[in-house]
Amino acid sequence: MRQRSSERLVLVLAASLGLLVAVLVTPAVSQAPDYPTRPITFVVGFAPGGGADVFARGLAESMKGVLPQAIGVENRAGAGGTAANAYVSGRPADGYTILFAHAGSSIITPLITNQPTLKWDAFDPVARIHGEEEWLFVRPDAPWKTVEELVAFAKANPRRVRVAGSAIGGIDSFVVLSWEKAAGISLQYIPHEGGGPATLTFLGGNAELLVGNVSEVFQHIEAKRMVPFVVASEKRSAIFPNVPTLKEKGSDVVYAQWRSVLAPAGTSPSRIATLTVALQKALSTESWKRFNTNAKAVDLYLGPADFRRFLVSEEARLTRIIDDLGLRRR
Amino acid sequence: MVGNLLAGFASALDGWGIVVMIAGVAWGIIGGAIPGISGAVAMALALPYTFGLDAATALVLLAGVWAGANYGGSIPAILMRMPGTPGAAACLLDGYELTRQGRAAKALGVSLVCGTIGGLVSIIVLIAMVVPLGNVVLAFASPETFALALFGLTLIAGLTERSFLKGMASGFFGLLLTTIGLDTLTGSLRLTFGRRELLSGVDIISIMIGLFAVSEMFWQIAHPKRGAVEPVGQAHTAFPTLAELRSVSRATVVGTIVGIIVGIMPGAGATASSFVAYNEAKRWSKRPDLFGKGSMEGVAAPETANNAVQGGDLVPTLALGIPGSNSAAIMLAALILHGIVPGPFLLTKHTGLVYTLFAGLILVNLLMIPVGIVILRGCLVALKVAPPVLVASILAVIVIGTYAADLFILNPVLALAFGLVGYAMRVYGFSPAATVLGLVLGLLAESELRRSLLISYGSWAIFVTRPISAVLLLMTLSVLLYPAVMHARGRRHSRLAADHAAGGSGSS
Repeated sequence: MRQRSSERLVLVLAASLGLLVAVLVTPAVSQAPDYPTRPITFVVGFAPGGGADVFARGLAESMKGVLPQAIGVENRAGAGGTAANAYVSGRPADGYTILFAHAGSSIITPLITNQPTLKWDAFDPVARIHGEEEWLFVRPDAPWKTVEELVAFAKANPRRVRVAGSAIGGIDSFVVLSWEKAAGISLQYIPHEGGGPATLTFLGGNAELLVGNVSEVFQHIEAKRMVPFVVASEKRSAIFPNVPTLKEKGSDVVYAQWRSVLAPAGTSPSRIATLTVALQKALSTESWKRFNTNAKAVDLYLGPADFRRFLVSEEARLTRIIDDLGLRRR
Repeated sequence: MVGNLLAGFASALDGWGIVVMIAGVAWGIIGGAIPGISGAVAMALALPYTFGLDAATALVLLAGVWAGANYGGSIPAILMRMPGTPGAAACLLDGYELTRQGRAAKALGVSLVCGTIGGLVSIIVLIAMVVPLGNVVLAFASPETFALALFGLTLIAGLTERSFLKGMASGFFGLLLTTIGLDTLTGSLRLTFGRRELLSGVDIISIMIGLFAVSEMFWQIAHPKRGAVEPVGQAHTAFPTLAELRSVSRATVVGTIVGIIVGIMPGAGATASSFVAYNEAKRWSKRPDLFGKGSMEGVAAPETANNAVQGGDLVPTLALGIPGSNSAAIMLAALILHGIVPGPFLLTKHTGLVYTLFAGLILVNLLMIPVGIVILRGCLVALKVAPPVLVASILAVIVIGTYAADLFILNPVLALAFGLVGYAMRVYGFSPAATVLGLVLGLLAESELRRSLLISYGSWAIFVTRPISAVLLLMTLSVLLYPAVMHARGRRHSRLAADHAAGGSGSS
């Protein structure tokens, strides 16, 4: 009896101690094994069916089985993608709401629309995933065989050469505007609501050049309706290694349509680590590799620290260009 | 081709095919009927469920949702003056009048049958001519789309019978509203007043619902006897007879042609097609005087057209791999996610898949009738609800629906505010319909005009040197001048007649 009561005392003490420890330690201990315990939402700032949306869905599909929880894709289109930024930045920083971002939605649009609180630095970078190179295309009957010939023609005939591309403020327009500045030429840029309509204007003979990604036009290249002319990347592309870069032609114009993942600011490093590990696993799955190849995208993975460094320098570079072009509101 | 199509039918009907199609059509109709869920959103919501399916079944499911949503938008438009999708705005002009006259089921039936016919014919045209039409797409560029938008805007004249000036003012008010937002052509901000919600412009569907539905609810509250829908009799639930359907055949033909052509044109879609079809059906009708006062043809033409857009939209989508609309973009997204790269080789590299889609499109359009009738029977119950309860419920649905679409609190506020604006317009004889027309065509007209001038290096001659654009502008001009000429001729005739009568009486 005596023994039993002392046993009980020990048990009670142990239990209360355990409870105390549990209460004190819960936030620190529970995260790693307990995340994710419910479905994660990927938020896309653009309408279903667009490049950003397809990318988010492709990635969500490849993460099936990598994480114990399902991943849903939610479209919050509007305000040039920044409606999604506003939504995600207001969500709890618990790793369950993740933002899909690219240069346009996380740097350029917040800058030119004067919404500094929605820029990338209002979030915690998780990873840069992949990117598409920026190309200039001509039709097979184009009179210029080389970049030099085109530049000479454009110099002699300012605003004569028409370039179809997506909206002003997108990467497409930055490629053209930067090239104009670097090569000392003046082109006629024709902005469109997206790459599809721009391709139609170009194929219909209403523009001499098209600027954009290969994925949207690859079959037109195979069908010999257009030819890749020059690429705005650091090195020649693996897709068309015979096509020169703008850089080797003397114009330092390097852009990529990179896509990335951001989390609300204050998300715990351990949850971000869980996400990056899962992302790396997803990127090595067969389904992602096939998706990435079909999209003619280049693997551009950067982890949280490297991605943050990249964003700092990318923002500085894009800010200079935006100010040069006078696009910023004051 | 017939062999391919038969194989397509076999593959579309394989396994759970028919169940998938019925589910797709039913969800499409219901989604389209809910304000805030457009066809593209309804398809996006169905997209995750297609991952477990093979590519062909996924496409057929999405095709069903698409076809259903094109039709579904007209149900609340006809019953409650509330367009479920922007494409249904034109059909409420006469559809809701018919409901007030106790002919709701007739209007809904006409919309269902004509929509189905428009969808089916456009799919058959697509199957027969997708490759040649793919090249036609490239003949349409910004100048042509601008000319089409201008042609559509001439409907403002037709919508305003009392005061032309007030009609124009209403239309320009709509055009003004479209200038709000981030200008995609220059990257500059216009009239956003520092509000993030306004960066991508005002929400067109919220304003439409405000001008049409909310103002009507306010009107019913203020005028409980005159405005209220009369108690339901047998007449309300009677579907149209064959003779009645035959009487709208001319409008159906007009709607089908307009829908297919506008669908093929890049940039213009279901909304533009339905207004142009409404206008054309009125012009070609034997009873143009009935338009706006409860014309069956006024329901048939826009509803045929916005369903016929489906086939037209799929021409650039399948022939060039460039989506003709947001809905078509989701079809392409489904293909990409299933590992198929869309583009000009889709037809040759994935013939089986494309023909399964063709067969599926025919089947889902046919399934619209039985599925639609079942859903309509349920919707007609709304007419049996007492007006005060109905008004309150509709206002609640409007607030929730407009909020749910983008989760911007500004949108329900816009809907309610434009309810007041619409009410005032009605009191002072302005035309809310003209405002909506300006709103849906304004952005298209503006961006295509500016883009045309960039293409032409600033020369306005581009609109007359390009044949299709020149023809469209000539049509626009003749439509504008025709009433004036007829009016002048009419006056001369009546003066001659009066002279004659005076002379005759003098001689006798």
